[in-house]
Amino acid sequence: MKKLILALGLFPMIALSAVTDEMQAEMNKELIKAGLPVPGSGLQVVPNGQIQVSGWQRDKFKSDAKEMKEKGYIDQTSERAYELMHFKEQVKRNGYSDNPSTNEGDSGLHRNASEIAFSYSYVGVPISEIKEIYGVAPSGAFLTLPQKGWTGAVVFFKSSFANCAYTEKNIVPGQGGVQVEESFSRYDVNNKLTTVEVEGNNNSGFLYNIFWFDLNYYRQLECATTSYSTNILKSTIDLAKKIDNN
Amino acid sequence: MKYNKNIIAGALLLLNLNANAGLYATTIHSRANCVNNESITWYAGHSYDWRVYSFHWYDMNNTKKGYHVIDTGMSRTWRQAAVHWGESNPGGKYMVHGAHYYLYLGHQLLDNVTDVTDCSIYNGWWD
Repeated sequence: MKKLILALGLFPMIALSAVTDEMQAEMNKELIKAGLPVPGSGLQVVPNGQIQVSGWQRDKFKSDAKEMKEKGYIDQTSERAYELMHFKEQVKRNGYSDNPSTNEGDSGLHRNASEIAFSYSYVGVPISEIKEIYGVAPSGAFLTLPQKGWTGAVVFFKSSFANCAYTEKNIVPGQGGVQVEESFSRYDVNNKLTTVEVEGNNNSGFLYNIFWFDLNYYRQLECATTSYSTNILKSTIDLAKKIDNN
Repeated sequence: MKYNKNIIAGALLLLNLNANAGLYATTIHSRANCVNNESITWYAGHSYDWRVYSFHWYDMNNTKKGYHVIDTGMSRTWRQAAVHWGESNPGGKYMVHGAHYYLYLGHQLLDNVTDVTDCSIYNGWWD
């Protein structure tokens, strides 16, 4: 009986707190005015210059795109490349979380994804592509409905050619929104909307960063090596394709 | 006495914040009626271009009363926090809706939105 009363008591709270269409329409007006994608707007390729960014950011877009075209990479220190190349040492220093990420309070690193509660069926990287796994950690939001758990995760691993981090985010139906400017839009990963960015230098190492999108997932694969080569970029894209097919 | 309760609630909130940072990836959340009303995107020690829009509806039972907005603007940081300090206490009527944006080279995206009516760090979607 107590359980029944508790359940009846909780139900109105859930029902009352849902965002109505009217509320969402009000909020969307603000977001559209700011030039931002609204929940449920899906995947959009927009004209160059449409993403509203400040002056220096627009200049950086232009100079980065120019460097990508001319050199194949953006010539700047990549802290992320350095971090990924030395991730194993970081794990040795910091260890793993002792608590399972079955609640909102733990976003620590775990030995594998089974120690994390997900709000959806976690997909991850095919086992055949992992030479060594360094750990998995929650990403995104912790949901209570329709299934209690995290909306995504990152897995750090060693592939056949580099240390990599794969981040997967499940998009709740009717929520996400992506805008890619025309000159940056590609379809390398199984004909899905893709962006490619490489940054680094000989001091920090190079980060190969692939994003690809569909209506259910945002995915990002980052792989780091000491040098730049088009072959490594190709290997990273090929790995993204295999992950996407998983 | 109410003052003391707020201090205790604030201290508990701060303890909770430290425990819930995204440590190995970006995490997002909103909280309502928690001394603060807030929407936060973060990844400890990793700075990216982020923007958070936090809509604070004054009364979850009567949304006709309207809302106000906190917009962080787009900036590079490891913790993008749209916070209204001291706006409401536990048991309050606010509903908070967070829209979390990321900007990368040539693209921007909206992660899942976070709608909440209480102080728990989840959610997500409904609370």
